[in-house]
Formats: sequence, structure tokens, C-alpha cells
Amino acid sequence: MTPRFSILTSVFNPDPSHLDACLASVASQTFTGVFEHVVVDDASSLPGVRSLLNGLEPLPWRRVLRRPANGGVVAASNDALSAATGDVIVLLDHDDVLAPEALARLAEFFDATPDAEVVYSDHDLLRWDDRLYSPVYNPDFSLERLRNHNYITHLVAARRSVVLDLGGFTVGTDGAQDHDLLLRLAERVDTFHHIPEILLHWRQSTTSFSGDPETNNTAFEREVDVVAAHLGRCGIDADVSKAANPGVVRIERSVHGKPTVSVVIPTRGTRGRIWGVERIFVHDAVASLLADVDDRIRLEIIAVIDSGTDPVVERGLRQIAGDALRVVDYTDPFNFSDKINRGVADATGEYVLLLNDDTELVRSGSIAEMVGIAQSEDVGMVGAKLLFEDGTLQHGGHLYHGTISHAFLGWQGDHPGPHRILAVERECAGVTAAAALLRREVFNRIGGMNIDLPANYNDVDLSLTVRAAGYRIVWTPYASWYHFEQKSFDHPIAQSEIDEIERRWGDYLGHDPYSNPNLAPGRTDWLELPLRSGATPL
Amino acid sequence: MTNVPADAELERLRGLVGPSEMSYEALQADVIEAERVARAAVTEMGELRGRIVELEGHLARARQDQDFLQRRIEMSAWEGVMYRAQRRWRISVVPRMKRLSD
Repeated sequence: MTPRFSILTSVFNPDPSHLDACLASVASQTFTGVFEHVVVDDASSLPGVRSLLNGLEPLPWRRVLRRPANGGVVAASNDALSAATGDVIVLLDHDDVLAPEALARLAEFFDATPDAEVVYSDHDLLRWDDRLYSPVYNPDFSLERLRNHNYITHLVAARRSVVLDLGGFTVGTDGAQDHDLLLRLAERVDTFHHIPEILLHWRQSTTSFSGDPETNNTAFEREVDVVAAHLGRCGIDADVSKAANPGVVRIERSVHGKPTVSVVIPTRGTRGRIWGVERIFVHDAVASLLADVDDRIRLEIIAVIDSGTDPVVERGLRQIAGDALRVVDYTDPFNFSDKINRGVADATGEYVLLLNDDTELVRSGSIAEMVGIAQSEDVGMVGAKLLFEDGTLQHGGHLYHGTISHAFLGWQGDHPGPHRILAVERECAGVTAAAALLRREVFNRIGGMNIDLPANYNDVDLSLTVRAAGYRIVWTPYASWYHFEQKSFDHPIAQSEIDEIERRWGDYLGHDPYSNPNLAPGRTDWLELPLRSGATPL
Repeated sequence: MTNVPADAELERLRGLVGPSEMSYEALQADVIEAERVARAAVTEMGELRGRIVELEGHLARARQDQDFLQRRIEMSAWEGVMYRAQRRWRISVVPRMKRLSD
């Protein structure tokens, strides 16, 4: 049954023309079902706003309520919620503009998905001259990203009963009230649903919180508070602070106990020249880990060494790692997956870090950072930011959108990415096994790596197996290694590997939930499809 | 750089530079400094390379917008009407019909 919608708008001193556009966008909905627009004026003082609201044509579906005194956006929003009578509430800021088909699309979605409780869409930005630009094509629900920043923003529709059960908007969260509500909803419902269409145009103006977040310092501090409160309710022990990027929250999780991390590092002692100096890759990979002393974890190094490898490799490893080193001799023909499986079979740690030998730790504390995330029962695997020798991005999470690739391949290593996607922890379709951490019991439960994929795509297969088992995969920018892949990898993709990955995961590879159907397939840089990049609409 | 105190390598280098420990240390310092310089140069190159990759994306976006606008400008009034009707059909009517049929 098509739900009745209540659009909630709290108003306080917007530009009158922006408010007018907002109200007009509701009036021009193509939706033919039942809806109401509950407008709460939070004692606006601008004469233009007051006269606009006073002069509104009386309409059966619009109610304008007035607060006697300004109480802030939370108080006004709660008043609107109390006055609402619909089945589903739709949040609309006083200067934003609904797409004409917004309610119709929501209605279609709720009709088709009767158990949906929270639905959000994509949006774009509305410039001062009413031009649309910078479409934001969101991923499907990404809890970890939502914790790091409110990537959803608008348009959000939620069952009114659920929001009322939660007690409405939280007093004291003004400016971060939407983020707070979304986080509390995320604690309550299984998932949020996503309509990958632009159903809202988000006004960029100085009177809303959509302007430069840096100028909204108070709101930013409240973001930190609401995320900290959310993590507390979820039983996640973490320090929460402002991150370097505006609007992004930094979550530093505590590591419980002092777990052992078994670093499984297959090697055949490959040498190469990095920054002008010859090195045995595995020596520097292990040395960089052990040089980063971290009291939160214990490290166990498990080197899976191919037979025939120069003995100097093992001797050097023993000198570097001492008692922390365990060696697994590998006498079979090259098979990366099998080598990893044999290494994990020898591991004793609660966590296993799968690590290529052609790596070097960049960011201190990376392993503990990954352990902090992997402690969550529903997280199956954690990936890291990997950089090429020149500091450009080798791995920003896997992307299975028209091709199997690494997101933002070749971008500057410290680039925040579009909509800060590279500056936040987020769920990914998969991560590379060049540096991936799992709880050992998860690795064993899913049966380890697929030995039918000896050289390529084994990490894709591992990722999809982890997700198929119901776990989330999280990529974090706060764990980082150099990965000198081009200098050491010489296994071209075999047709049998392509056949195997398509046989096993063809359906999954056709839909990456953390990309968006409006983005160009085969691209790794979030380029939009033609006509969807924000060019002036015709 | 590999941090392995390899006795044989130490002896080899001492043989090359003579018995003076200072000379060996100076050589080591040279290597470290050379690595630092090489690393900085490679990183600088990477920053430029990364910027180029990002700009390629922006360029692709601008080109597809330009192509679209160019085609739109070159349309006659009648073609414009037909274009809008087809577009409306494609992005609005067809999905709705598909959803209804589902």
C-alpha cells in the first residue's frame, strides 16, 4: 500500500527566494497520492520570510506552524514530527529543492519494498544562481562511512513510527541532528535502502549547514559528539575527534587485550631497486613492521618461502625478526593462494595480516588500526591504503563496476577523493590481499583462499567469499603501506583465472553496491555517465 | 634499504674504501642521502602524475559535457522537441513501465 508522506521543513531566516523555491518544489510534485508538508517557522525574524509564510495560499496538504520563540532546528523539527500524520517522513531543509518526481519515486520504492524503513537517494548541489552541479552519487548503505561523515545528507525518508520510537530528534544536536538521527536509525534497522537517482537539490548557501563545513565549527563539534555517542551505544570503545578533512570524523578504536597478529608473508626473495637502492623486498617489508613498535599488539611473522630461494633471504629474515619469525617451506609450484593458506595454517594469532613481500609500512600504527576495525563481529576483512613507489594510489579499495580494478588508481596518495571518499573508512566490494587483515576464525570459516586462482583474482574471490558469508569489508585510509607491485609481479592474467572468477562470481561482479549505476563502468575515478555529470539540464 | 648487518658485505666495502671506519661511514651517509634525494624526486614526480590522472578524469567529464551541449546546440527546433520527448520517454516513462511490468 502506498504510504502517506509527511514532508518536514523547519524554517529559520532563509533567503526568501530559496524558501519560495523549496515550497514550490513540494507543490510541483508529480506524486498523485496522499502527502502533507509540515512547515514549522522557528520564529523567523526576516520580514521577507514572515510575509512569504503569511501570504501562502491555503492548501489542504500544507500546514504552517509557528513557534513563539526561536528554539533551534531540533526543537522545530520535533514540532514538525509531532504534527506529522503520514506513514513516512521526508526531511527537507528550508532552502533545498525536491526533484519533481521525488515523492513518486519514493512511493514506488516503498510499494515495491514494503519492509523498507529508511530510504535515501542521491543528490546534487544547487548553486546561488540556481544552476545544478556536482552530483553526489552515493553508494548503497555504508555504515562505516556514515560513522565517518554524513555521506547521505538528503533526501532521507523514514517510517514515522520508527523515528517516533527513537524519540525524534535529539536535543542538543543542532546542526548535526540529521547525522544523529541516521546513526540512531542505523542502530535500529537492518539496512537503509538506496535509490540511485537525484531526488533532491541541496542548496549551497551560507545560511544552511551545507556551506563550507569549516565555517560550521559548532556543527562539526556536534558531529564528533553524535558519532561518539553512537559508538558508545554500539559498544565500540574509541576516541573520536575532528579529522583533517572538514566534516570528517576521526575514529580511533581501542584494541582489546593485546592480540597477536600473524603476518603471513609469502616470498621467494625477490630483489629490486627502490628509490635507487637495491633491496630484498621481504627484508624491508618485515623490518618496517618491526620498527613500528606498538604496545597494543604482538606480531608473529610467518614467512612462506619458496624452495630454491637464496638462503641469504631466510638468514636475513632471522636476523631482522629473531624469535618473532616462523618459516614455512613451500615446495610446490607457485600458488599465492596456497602459500597464504599454508601460512595461516601455521599461524597462532587471533588475527592474520596477509601481506605481500613487496611492501613497506608507511603509517605508524596501521596494524592496530586494522585490528580495531576487525574486532567488530560483522567485519570480515579490513583493507589498507596502498601506494606506489612514487606515492600515487595503488589501492583505495576494490571496484567491481564494469571491470575489476582498484578505486582511484594512480591518484595522489593523500587526495581525499570526490566527496571525501578516500579520506574516510568505508565498506568496499573487496580489498586487495596485498595488505588485508582478518580474524583468523573468519579466514578458516570461509575456507581460506581459492587455490584454483594461483596468481590473479584470488583476493577478489576472497573478498566476495567474505561478503557472501555475511560480513562487511572495510577499507581504511588510516592504515597504509607502499606496494612496489610493478617491480615484483610478473604473472599475467590467465584465461582460466578469468573463467574461474566469472564462473564463481559473475552475478556479484555485475553490481558493486559501493559504486553507483550513474557512474561510468570501467572507470576507476567516479566519472559520471554522459548527461549525469551536472551539466546544465535542458 | 635493507637493514641487514651482513659481515661479508661489511668486509667487501671496507676492502673497497680502505681501513678507515670514517670512510665507510661517509659512504653509508652518502647512500642514505642519495636514497633520500631519489625518494623525494620520485615522490615529486608522483604528485605530478597523480594530478595528471585526476585531471584526465576532469577532462573526460568536460569533454562529454561539451559533446552533449554541442549536439544540443546543433539541433533544429523540431529536433530539440523530439530529443526532449525521447529523453523523457527513456528516463521517465520506460522505467515506470518496466517497474509496473515487474
